[in-house]
Amino acid sequence: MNARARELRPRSLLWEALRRPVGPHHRGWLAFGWLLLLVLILEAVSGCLLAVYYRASSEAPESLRFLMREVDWGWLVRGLHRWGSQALLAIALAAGLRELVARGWRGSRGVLWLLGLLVVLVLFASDLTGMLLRWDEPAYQTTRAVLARVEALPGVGAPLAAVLGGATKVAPATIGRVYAAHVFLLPFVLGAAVVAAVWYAGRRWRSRGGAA
Amino acid sequence: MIVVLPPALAGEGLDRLRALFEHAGWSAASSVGEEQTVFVVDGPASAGDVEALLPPEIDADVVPILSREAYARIRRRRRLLTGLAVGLALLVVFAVVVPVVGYLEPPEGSFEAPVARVGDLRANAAKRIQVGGEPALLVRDGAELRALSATCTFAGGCLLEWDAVRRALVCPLHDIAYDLFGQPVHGPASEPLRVFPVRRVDDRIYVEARP
Repeated sequence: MNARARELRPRSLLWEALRRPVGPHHRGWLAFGWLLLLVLILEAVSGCLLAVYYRASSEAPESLRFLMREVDWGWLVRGLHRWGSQALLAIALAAGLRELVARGWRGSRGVLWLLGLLVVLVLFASDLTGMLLRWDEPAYQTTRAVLARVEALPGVGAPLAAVLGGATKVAPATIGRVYAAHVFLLPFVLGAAVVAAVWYAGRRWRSRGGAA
Repeated sequence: MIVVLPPALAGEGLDRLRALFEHAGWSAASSVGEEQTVFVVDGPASAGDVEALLPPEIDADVVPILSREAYARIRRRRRLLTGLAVGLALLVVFAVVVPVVGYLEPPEGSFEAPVARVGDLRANAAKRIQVGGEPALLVRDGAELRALSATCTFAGGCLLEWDAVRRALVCPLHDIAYDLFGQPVHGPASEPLRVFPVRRVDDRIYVEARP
């Protein structure tokens, strides 16, 4: 194919990513980034579906029981969301380990390394808040333990625990905050970090003529 | 074979290519167009042979000229693969849409707020509740809670009341009585009442709309 005809082709990132051959040394590893994006989309979709039936109040366990037993496919949607979150962490940590071994934090890949670090932190926070949303006995105990640790921080501890928990003790006021963080704040930060990473990786990849 | 070349390649470069092909014992005819330059090369066994001969700095596509049968075979295979791909895509869409639609469909007896708190009910007393939009009675029988439809199964479906003395759900109009299991114990009714499962979570009482 000649250069002119190639110029006319749609130059979207995805199109090029699908067309261009990848160097043999990253072939398997590049899949991690895309896999992460795919599972993130799965989490977003299944999360939206869960929000249809979930109640962020003291009725939370009851609404989950209803979801699992009465709603058609409720077990599937909840299972996808739950195991997807575990898969996300596993994939993110594996990708991070690979970058660590390959010294991916150096040079212009350092931006991606930092964004990846932010993604992993937000994933951990999402996992924690997601677990608390079940609002059963283990969730309650975990919330108490987390708030107690926050409260033990010197200086800012007590007011920070009050802001995060909505009360000095775990109360129904806590669940609203946990819910808001899990479905609004954290996904927003995560989405921004992922969009920035994909944009930066694409720009960098083009400027280097297709080399990762 | 047809060799498609960039338009920049003309004149001397073209002559050098022709010499290369003829040296290999193939006949070659060229046509220079505005968008691209095309070589028709006759003789080589495969497109790979031509590509191996081309200098690496030349960006060219080598396309084999196919017999009518070979081309038909390729088209058949392409149609089959396209069909399979479309079928697979439809299957995937189906596998996603069915659970999502089923999930969003309002389930029978949608989750409602607790119908009562334990403290609301005295022993041997009843409370009027709604289960799935239907009138029902929540009766506390000792420590046990029972939820029964309050619509009589006999002609017309009168609204039943709780009679604490007879410990029965009664219809004053037809003199019908049902026991706490919904069975008719007095009067002309023969069909039992719907009984709903009751669950207690802490002090909240939930009634499921499914019988």
